[in-house]
Formats: sequence, C-alpha cells, structure tokens
Amino acid sequence: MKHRIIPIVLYDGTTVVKGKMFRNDRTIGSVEAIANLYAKRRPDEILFLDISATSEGRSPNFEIFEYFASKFDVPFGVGGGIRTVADAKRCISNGAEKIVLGTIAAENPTLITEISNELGSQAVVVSIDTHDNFVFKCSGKVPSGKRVLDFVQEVEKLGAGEILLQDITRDGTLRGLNLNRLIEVLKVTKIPVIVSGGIGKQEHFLEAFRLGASGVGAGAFFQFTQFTPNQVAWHLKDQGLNVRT
Amino acid sequence: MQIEIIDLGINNLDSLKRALSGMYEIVDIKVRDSGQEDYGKPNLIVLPGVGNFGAAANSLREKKLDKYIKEQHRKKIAILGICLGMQLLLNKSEESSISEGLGLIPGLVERLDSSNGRVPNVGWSEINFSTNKDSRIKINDEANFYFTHSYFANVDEEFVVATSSHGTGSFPAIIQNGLALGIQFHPEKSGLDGRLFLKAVIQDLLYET
Repeated sequence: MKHRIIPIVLYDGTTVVKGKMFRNDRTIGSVEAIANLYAKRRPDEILFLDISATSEGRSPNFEIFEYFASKFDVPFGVGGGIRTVADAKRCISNGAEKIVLGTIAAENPTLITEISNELGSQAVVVSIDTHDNFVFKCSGKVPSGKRVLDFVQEVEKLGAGEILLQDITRDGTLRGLNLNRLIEVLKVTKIPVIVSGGIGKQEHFLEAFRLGASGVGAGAFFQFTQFTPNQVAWHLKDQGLNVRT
Repeated sequence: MQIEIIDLGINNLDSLKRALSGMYEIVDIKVRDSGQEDYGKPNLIVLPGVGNFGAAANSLREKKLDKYIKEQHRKKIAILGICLGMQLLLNKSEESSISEGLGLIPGLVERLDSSNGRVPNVGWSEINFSTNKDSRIKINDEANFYFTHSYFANVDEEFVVATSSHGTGSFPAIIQNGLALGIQFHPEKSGLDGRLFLKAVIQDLLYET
C-alpha cells in the first residue's frame, strides 16, 4: 500500500480556519473555495474537520458534503459534530468515504462499534488529540482522563478502522511530528495510523512514513507554504518511497 | 447504452453515476432499488456497496434484487460488482456466516490476515494482471487505485484477473466468471486512472455479451 499524503482542512461549518496549537483564529476562506482548490491538486485523500460543531452543539453541515462529493474524484473524510449512527450514515450517503470521530469517541466509545457494524470499520476514523501521554477532547481543551496507548487499543477493539493521531502542542507550528509517540502507537495497534501535527517541511513526511505511518496529515503546511501534496509526493518518490504521483 | 445501478440505500451513487455518464456520448443510467420495476433491457448492471456483508445481503433479498440480478445474469446481461458489491457476487462471507451471496462467482469472502499487513487495507495501490489469463483490459502500467477493505475474495485461480498486495501477502483485485466481474477497489474514487479503468473493463464485459 502506498503512503498517503493527506491535507486536513479545518472549518467552522462554512469558513476554513487555521491557527496554532488548536487555537484556530486565522480565517483562510470559504470551505467551497478551498475544496475546489484541493480537488484540482488531486491529493491521495482529504479530511474536512468541522472544529466548532461539537462546541456549538450543532450538527455537521451535511449539505456541504454533497458539494465536496461533486468536486472530488478521490476519497474524502468528514468529522465534527457526528453524534449518532444516523449522522454517520448521512455523511456516507452524502458522498463521504469515511467519518472521523473525536470528542464523541472519548465520551461514548460504543458509538464506534455501532457505526462500524453498519458501515464497516474501514469507514470509521478515530481522531486522538494528544498532549503528553493523555487524550484531550473538545478541540484539545478538556482532558478526557484516558491514556493515549490505552485508548488506541480500546478504539481498535471497538471497531475503529483508522487512527488520526494528533499532537496539540505541535499543531500548526511547522516544527515536526511527535515521532516518539508515533512509534509507541504503531507498536500497540494493527489498524492504519495517520499522524499529524507539526509538519513543516517535506522531510517530516519522510520520517513518519519510514517509521510505518500509513498516512501523514498536514494543515498549516499546505495552507501557509508553497508546497502542494503532489510536489511532496514527487520529492518522496525521489527518496525511494512508495507513493502515488 | 443502458446501465442500471443497484441502490442498496447506504452509499452515495453520484461519483459512480458521474464516472459512468462521462464514458459514452449517450448513456442512460437507471437507479434500481427493487426487483419489480421494468426499465427495459439493460446492457450492464452495476452493483456497488459499502458496509457489512450481512446487512447488504439482507437488503438485496428484502428488495427482491437478488432474484432480479440472478435472472438478468441467466439472460446474459453483464454484472459488475464493486467493493462490497464484488463480495456479494460470491457464495458466502466470514463477516456474516448466515447470509448468502449471489453465487455468480464461486468463492468465499474472508478476512485479511493482519500478520501480513495492517487491516483494514486502506490506500492506493497498483494491480498486477494474472499472466495465465489473457485479459483484454488494458491500463497504464503505473495506474493507481483506491482500496479500502477488511475482507477479500478467496476464489480459485481460474477466476482471478488481477491481484494487488496487502503487506507481505496478496489478494484478488479483479475477479471474473464469464459475464460476472468483480472489482475490490473503488474505480469511481480513483481519479482519472479509475475512470479509464472503468471504461476499459465495461468495454471488455460488453464484448462478451
């Protein structure tokens, strides 16, 4: 399987935002415009995370997923505000390939099982926001009390198909991934791991893939530098990595 | 050119419809969600699907789609299964031992071995055509396709058109038994490579009819 380079787009339902360390105060543009731009760049896949749906007690903007589906001929995942099996099914029927569970996975882990029984575990990504050895919820603001490695094993058992491993203090800083945590997580799980938080140069992708990450996610790197996913793929191919160009 | 897409009510059919409708100048796509309606004779039936084998097999039976597809297959209509739709062409699945597939290609659906690689098997991969089968399907050697699955089709070698790899192991990526053809990956989510492949595979299937 080829290594996946995955842009992560954070938005508040309508507008794309990006900041540092989970404080997303900078506005980038409308989510339609950004989706259009990324669709032209033909990434391996893309994740759209609605970072304010949960805190605002709002449902995901399901209609926008139909717009994404009309633009992308590669898979996309959606997260933020999914609370029920019915929500998850609506995301898939509106064109998403997979759904991403964050806060709700820490608060109500059995939802992982309920969704994967209906849609298959390949459709369920659990996003784990980490700081030190602990899992945080509510966009990194509230400690869940769970330890990272325990939680990774718990969600795999419950039926998660992939893990999105994030690092709160590296997010948006461009200073590199938390590779030690990646190594620890890869050791305790058999499901694919997408790692993100801190990508700032092309070499950062290389390190994570060589360690065994299935995918590397990047937000600020693709928003604020000149690099595109395809440029990174060519660079990695030149270094001997198995990627899709 | 008339194509019927079977709607099991779970996944979005738009990307598939778009990929198919861009293929020929005149293509009439009908979405079928029960075995009863008469839309006239199709050239091809496409069975897509995501989710659980048992739930999908039940849905086929409840909507009388299983009888319909088997009847069309007897009338020499080509059937194309995609992902879970491919798995439904086989006899049975480990995922749901009590549910029956359509049995159009002999074989069982089994879980990928996590000692070979991570499961589910997610991402882009190339495919390798079997050397003992003289397939007319021609694709770019470097074409990549998007896979996302935990189960695979365990079928006899004679039904394997192409394989792909899962870590240190391999599994059938395309299987065929006469006019029934199954694809494990998602051509409709595989960009331009996927659309070109879909056209090539449909031309090949229709050549057989």
